[in-house]
Amino acid sequence: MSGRRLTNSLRVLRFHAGEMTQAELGEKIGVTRQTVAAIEQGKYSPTLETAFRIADVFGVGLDEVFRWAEE
Amino acid sequence: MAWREKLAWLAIAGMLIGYVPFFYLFGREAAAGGPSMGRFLLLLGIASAVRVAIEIGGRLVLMLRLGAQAREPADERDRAIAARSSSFAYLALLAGMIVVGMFMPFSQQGIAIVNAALFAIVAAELIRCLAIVLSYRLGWQ
Amino acid sequence: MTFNEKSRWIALLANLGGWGWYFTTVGRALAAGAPDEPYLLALTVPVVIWLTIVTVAAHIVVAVLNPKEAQTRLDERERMIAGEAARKAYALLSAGIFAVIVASAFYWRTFFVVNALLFVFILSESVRYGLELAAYRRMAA
Repeated sequence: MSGRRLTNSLRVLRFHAGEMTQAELGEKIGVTRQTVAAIEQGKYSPTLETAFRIADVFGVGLDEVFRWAEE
Repeated sequence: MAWREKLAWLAIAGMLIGYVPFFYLFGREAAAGGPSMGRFLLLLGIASAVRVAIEIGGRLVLMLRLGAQAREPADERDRAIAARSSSFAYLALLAGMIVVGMFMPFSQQGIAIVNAALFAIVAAELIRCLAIVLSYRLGWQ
Repeated sequence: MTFNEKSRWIALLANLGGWGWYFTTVGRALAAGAPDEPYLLALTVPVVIWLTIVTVAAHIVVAVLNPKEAQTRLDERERMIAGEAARKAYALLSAGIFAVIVASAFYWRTFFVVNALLFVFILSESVRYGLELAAYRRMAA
C-alpha cells in the first residue's frame, strides 16, 4: 500500500462540464463546496457513495475520476 | 463478531455487573439517611474493581483465544463506528452534566450530586457501548 | 467557511468570553478570601442568558448574510469531523468528571464540586470546538 496515493481529475472534469463550479458540483452530489475543494486537493477521501455520485454527474466511470498515482 | 464489538459487550457486562448493585445499595442507604462519603467511596471502589476485573480479565481471555484478531488495527468502519458512538455518549454526558452541575445544587447536597455525576458517566458509557453493538449488528450507514 | 464552521467559531468565542469572565470572577473572589458562594454560583444565570443571546444573535446574522448556506445540512466530511472531535472530547469529559468525583472525597464543598464540574464541561466543549475548527482549517483550500 505504501508508495501510492489517490488522485482525482475533478478539476479537469468540472472544466469540461461547462466550467462547473465547485459549489454546483457540491449541490449535485449533496456536499458543501468546501468538501468538494478538499476532495480535489486530496485532503479528504469521499465515501464510496459520494465517489459514485461524482462519476455519475460527469457520466464517466469511477476510475476516470479517481486513480492511484505513484508517489 | 468484530473484535471491537466483543469489547463493547464486555464493557456492557462489566458496567452492569459492577454498577447496578452499587446504585441499588446507594439508593437503599440514601433512603435510610444516606451513606457517609467514606462508605460511598468504599462501595464505588468495589464496584469499579469488579468492572475493571471483568473487562481486563475478559479481554485477556479473548486475546488468548483469538490471537490475530485482537492485534488487528482499527479500520475505517471501526473508526467511523467509534466516532459516532462517542458522539451519542458525549451528548448524553453533556445533558447529564447540565442537570448535575446547574440544577441539582439548588435542591440537593453533597453525595447525591457526586452520585448523580457518576451515574451520568456510567449511563453515557452504556450508551456508547450499545451504539457500538447496534452499529455492528444492524450495519453502518 | 461553511455555516457549521462559522457556528463553531461563534460557540467557541462565546463560551470562552462568557465562562472566562465567570471563572476569572470566581478566582478573584477566592483569592480575596471569604467568597460569597451563593452569589458566585448565581452568576452562572446571567452568563447562560448572555451566552444564549449572543449565540442566537450571531447565528441569525450569519444566516441572514448567506441564507442558502445556513439551510444546508451537515455533509459527510462535517459529520466525520464532528464525530472525531466528539470522540476525543468525550474521553476528556469522562476523565475530568471522574477526577472531580475522586477529588471531592478529599475536599468536599458543594461550591467546589459544582464549579469543578462546570469547568470540566466548558473545557471539554471548548476542546471539541477547537478540534473541529483545526480539522476544518487543515482541510481548507
